[in-house]
Amino acid sequence: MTSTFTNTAKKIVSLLEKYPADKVKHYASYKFSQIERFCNIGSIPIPKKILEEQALEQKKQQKLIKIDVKKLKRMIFADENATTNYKKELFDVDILNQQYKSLKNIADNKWADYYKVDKKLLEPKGNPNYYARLMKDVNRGGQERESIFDAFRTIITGKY
Amino acid sequence: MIPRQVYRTAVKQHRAHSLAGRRLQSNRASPKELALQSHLPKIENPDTPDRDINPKRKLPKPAYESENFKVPEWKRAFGELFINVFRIDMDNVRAGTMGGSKYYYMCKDQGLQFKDEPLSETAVFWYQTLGLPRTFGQWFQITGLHVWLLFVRMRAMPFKVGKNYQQKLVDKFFKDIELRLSEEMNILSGQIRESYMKDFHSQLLGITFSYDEALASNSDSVLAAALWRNVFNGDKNIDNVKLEALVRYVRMQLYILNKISDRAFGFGDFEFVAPNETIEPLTPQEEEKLREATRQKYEPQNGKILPSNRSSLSLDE
Repeated sequence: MTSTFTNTAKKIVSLLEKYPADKVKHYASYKFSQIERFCNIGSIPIPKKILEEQALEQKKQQKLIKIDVKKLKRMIFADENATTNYKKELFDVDILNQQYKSLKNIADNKWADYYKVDKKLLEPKGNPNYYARLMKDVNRGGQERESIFDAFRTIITGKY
Repeated sequence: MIPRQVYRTAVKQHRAHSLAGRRLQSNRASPKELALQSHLPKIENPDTPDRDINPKRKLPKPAYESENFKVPEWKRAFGELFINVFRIDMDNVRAGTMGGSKYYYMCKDQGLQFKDEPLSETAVFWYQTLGLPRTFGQWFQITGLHVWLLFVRMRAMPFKVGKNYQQKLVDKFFKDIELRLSEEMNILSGQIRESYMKDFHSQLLGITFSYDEALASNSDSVLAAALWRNVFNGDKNIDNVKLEALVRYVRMQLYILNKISDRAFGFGDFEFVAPNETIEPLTPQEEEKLREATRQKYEPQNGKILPSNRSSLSLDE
């Protein structure tokens, strides 16, 4: 394995670290899974910061869902291979550079800037507060409830 | 390249041939070409094997959705008279015929595939270029993505009309899923069908929420994560070039939806840009031309509008 290969993988990982974390917790996180994958491919240790973040999130998830799915799975399928096969042998410097370029385009908002969308869609005529209210909820992590008056307003007017 | 809508309205209706020449000038890669640039071979995901649909009986597409379907002259005349006499609200009627039928079949056809049958042009992009598994769930995800794209535009219509279009689209979507499950997927038990339907319902809520979040935060990385979770089934060995191609595809559709007027959209004059096509952002002159062409088509000067073509939808936005 050449040093350029490892360096490109390192570049990808440091780029992925700058990706925004999910505001609402899902079953899987794109950012973390890709960091794990490219660390594995480049044989680099996973950054400490990421590991801490992941541990924190897992704690939160355990509070949220009482049943630990992974534990259950391990109990049922005892001999199941826990680690994913990342097919390291398929990668070379050229492919890693391609992956880096795409990830960079996504991080730089290339297509959102190229195909700009204006107020017409972002503050829709029929439902002007829709996205503002959605983002308010998302920024609170999607866990808190709205007040009962807001809920009634939605039920009566049909507007979100 | 000019969006097909612009091309269609401007060239065919308005005979603005100056626009037609620019159609092939773009040198940017289409989403399909972008995805094909990747050198990473396809990595099979053992969690999502291909499960081709072997239909018991294929659901036919209604005759009135075929391209060369024509209503008999006497029926047309009677309809116009009926609408005129009873002053029927055509925006309301159109929600069913456009939102609930034409637009739904457009979404459905994007990722439709059956066992041992050649794939359609768009399906080739989804199943071969992007390498997605050929399953019913995947079809649902692809259709859901397109339904969401239409939702975004429908929200920007006047509240009453837009809500009606959305409602008709969702109704048709779930009616069709239930029919497909029983007729094509050979699920005979109503109880099992019902439980699947509930699952699909919560999936559609998730799809709408996560893509809406991406649109509102105006960030490609959030959109990419949402597409990875939904369309790519959270595959860890994903090819990021293909993910970028899909981000580009979605942004392209949103751009067209942003430019098309309420009237043209409500009359069913929207088409998804095919994955092997690309568009360039419009210049202000082209936008003016597009607006002019729309006005010419739907409200020609000193021309009469048929009762069935009356509408309160805006021509400008």
